[in-house]
Amino acid sequence: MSDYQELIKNFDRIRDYMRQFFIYGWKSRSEYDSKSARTYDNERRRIESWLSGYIQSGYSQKGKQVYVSVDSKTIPQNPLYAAWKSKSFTDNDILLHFFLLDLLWDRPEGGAAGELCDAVSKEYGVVFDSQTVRLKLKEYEELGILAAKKEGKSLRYRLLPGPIQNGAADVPAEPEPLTEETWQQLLTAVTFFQEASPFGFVGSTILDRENKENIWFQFKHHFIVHTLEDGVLADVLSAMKAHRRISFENKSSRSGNLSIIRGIPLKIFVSTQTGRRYLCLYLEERRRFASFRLDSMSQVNELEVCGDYERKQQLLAKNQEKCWGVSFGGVYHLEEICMKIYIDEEKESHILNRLYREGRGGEVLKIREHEYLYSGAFFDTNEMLAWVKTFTGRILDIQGTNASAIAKVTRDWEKMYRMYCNGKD
Amino acid sequence: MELFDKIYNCYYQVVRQILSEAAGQPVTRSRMTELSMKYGYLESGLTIVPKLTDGTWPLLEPVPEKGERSNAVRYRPVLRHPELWEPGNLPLTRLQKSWLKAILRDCRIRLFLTDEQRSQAEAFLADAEPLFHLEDFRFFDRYLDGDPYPDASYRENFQTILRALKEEKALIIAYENRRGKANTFEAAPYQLQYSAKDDKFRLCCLKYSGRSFHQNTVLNVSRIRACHLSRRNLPDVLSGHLPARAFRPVSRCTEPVLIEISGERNSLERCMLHFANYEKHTRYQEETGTWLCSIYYDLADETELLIDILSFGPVIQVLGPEPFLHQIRQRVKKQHELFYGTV
Repeated sequence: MSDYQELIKNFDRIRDYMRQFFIYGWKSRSEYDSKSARTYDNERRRIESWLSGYIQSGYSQKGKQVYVSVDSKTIPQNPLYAAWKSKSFTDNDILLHFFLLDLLWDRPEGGAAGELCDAVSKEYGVVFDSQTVRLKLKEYEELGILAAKKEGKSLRYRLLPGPIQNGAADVPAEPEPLTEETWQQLLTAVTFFQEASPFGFVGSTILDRENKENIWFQFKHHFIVHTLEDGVLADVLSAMKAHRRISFENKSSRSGNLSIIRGIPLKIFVSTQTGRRYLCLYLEERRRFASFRLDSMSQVNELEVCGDYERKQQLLAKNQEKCWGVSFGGVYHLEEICMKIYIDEEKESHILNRLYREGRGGEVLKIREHEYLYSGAFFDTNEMLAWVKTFTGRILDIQGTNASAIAKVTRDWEKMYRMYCNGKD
Repeated sequence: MELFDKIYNCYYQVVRQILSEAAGQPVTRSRMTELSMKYGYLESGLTIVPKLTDGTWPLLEPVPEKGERSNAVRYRPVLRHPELWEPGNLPLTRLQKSWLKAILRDCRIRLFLTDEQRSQAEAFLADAEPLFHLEDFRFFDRYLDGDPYPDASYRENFQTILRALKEEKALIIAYENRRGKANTFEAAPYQLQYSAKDDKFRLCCLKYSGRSFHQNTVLNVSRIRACHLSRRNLPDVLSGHLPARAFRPVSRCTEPVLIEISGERNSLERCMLHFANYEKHTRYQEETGTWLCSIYYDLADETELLIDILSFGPVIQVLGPEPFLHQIRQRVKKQHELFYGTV
């Protein structure tokens, strides 16, 4: 494994592997779709190194299984953020990072590339090509940590102020720095939002630089694997902001088939119960909305601006309340469903509360003592069936306009009866 | 803005920590290795330490000391301003500012910042574009009875709890019970638990009972009518950098739930994703072509796991343990009786 390195150039290469280690812990070496055994070994070693402490292993008939297993309540920070902190760099990159920032710290007037190149050589005894220094300064200006100002024919770069700037540097304080107390409060908020907000790994990089860690917040119903889709999410949000159409490669999670999809990105649908995130897209050719899982998407390309973007958003706003989940059904016809549920309201008010808080706008009516009627109209009854089955043991009757979906759920209960109650209890 | 950038690389973080520590007290190679393990990956030290000491990354220089063994040589930074690397001084990147700007727009930020602090932060981030807008997201299955974040008394209680956690103080709490009446008691907080699905905060604490804080309790923050700091400090078990109770289930099951996944209707992938927030282990059974999955859970969440498993229907089958299986069987049997009468 002489070509092995902990760091990587391309995030997409590791994304699938990490997902498979995390989601499909049961796979052994021969079951991964890798180019070669060497590739698998390198990726496994890399993930074991990044996630040491969270990796477990065992043996099956097919060989060693390596998997990531964590109870989300027990982790202060998403361990998969490690993947975002693994970009490879050159020796010049890391040296110029430290030398240039050190030099600029007490130079409020900043410096031009040539001048800084000479200063690095003088101060630290390391000689760099002036073009290398110039490119690094430009890169850091784009990152937002240096400001550039044109003076004569050259650009002068200066260090921008930190959030509190309590050091000795005489750097112009624009904008006004935060007070120490505000910054500390904001950092407490960051310890929460780094897990509870989109792109949480960015928050974790702020904690890294501040030597802070989360100690006060525990996360339940927390699905950490989806950080791996944040690159795709960023590309999609950028296109949405610009009201642009996109094209992307979609890999079907069932068949594995690849297809190119083109449409107008309108909204991100998020399931808080599974962590899955979907892009809701308007498909112009088919004149309909459709949803695609972010973890099945790659190669997002921004295309031309869509003239009637706002109208499409309004159209979605009118329709999205009728989605139980992410499906817009076959023909945009609403399917009605009603179910009669047994609830002892005296002792089981929590079940009644479930109908209100989980029923997504469906109507709840008391029809007689201990009997409630839940009714609603949504695009796709099939999406509701998992929720319906959580009331197993309470459903007195269920009816709906999608007869095959209703038959499916009643058949499921019969199968479960045969499965569990074959003469028992 | 590039998300995957070398400036966030953990090697930079390791080197910063080494330089920072070495500025105060020159460090040995073995200390560098320890810091690499703490702030980097498992094998990072194998790359970082040689490069820092063999001149490839001339950011440190050996401190001349006669008679020392080679592995005891100490190194100090060649940089002139170690204070730059102290917290708060480095400029934030555009990406970090954009993310902060986005969270300032989240109503939950008011639980952490006063209005004045929020305005101050808004002014500091005036030039940044929010990285995302929450309006671009639709959390379609979030429960509708989430916590009332804008409510003044909720906000005040939340801030009191945060203060108690930071100052390691117990709390006197007036808590609304299921019948809507308030009970007052003293409790030692150790963590706030957040659920995105419930959109609720819960306070994990030890209730004072029988002359000590020992009754492990989880309270809904929205049902706290009022709370204030008690004079009592937290018990030893909850004080210190990371309380012993933190990041632990209230009561972990002794035996995991064992389920068999048929694979029908994409059930393997659905299960793996749905139960991804639990500690679990899955293995394939060649003889039956099915998967066996052991799920470890907090006993406080048993009913929730039970109904989640029921939601999959017959594509997964609970095999044990018997008490859990018994509950499943009872519900399935009851359902059958409701449809077809007692068999």
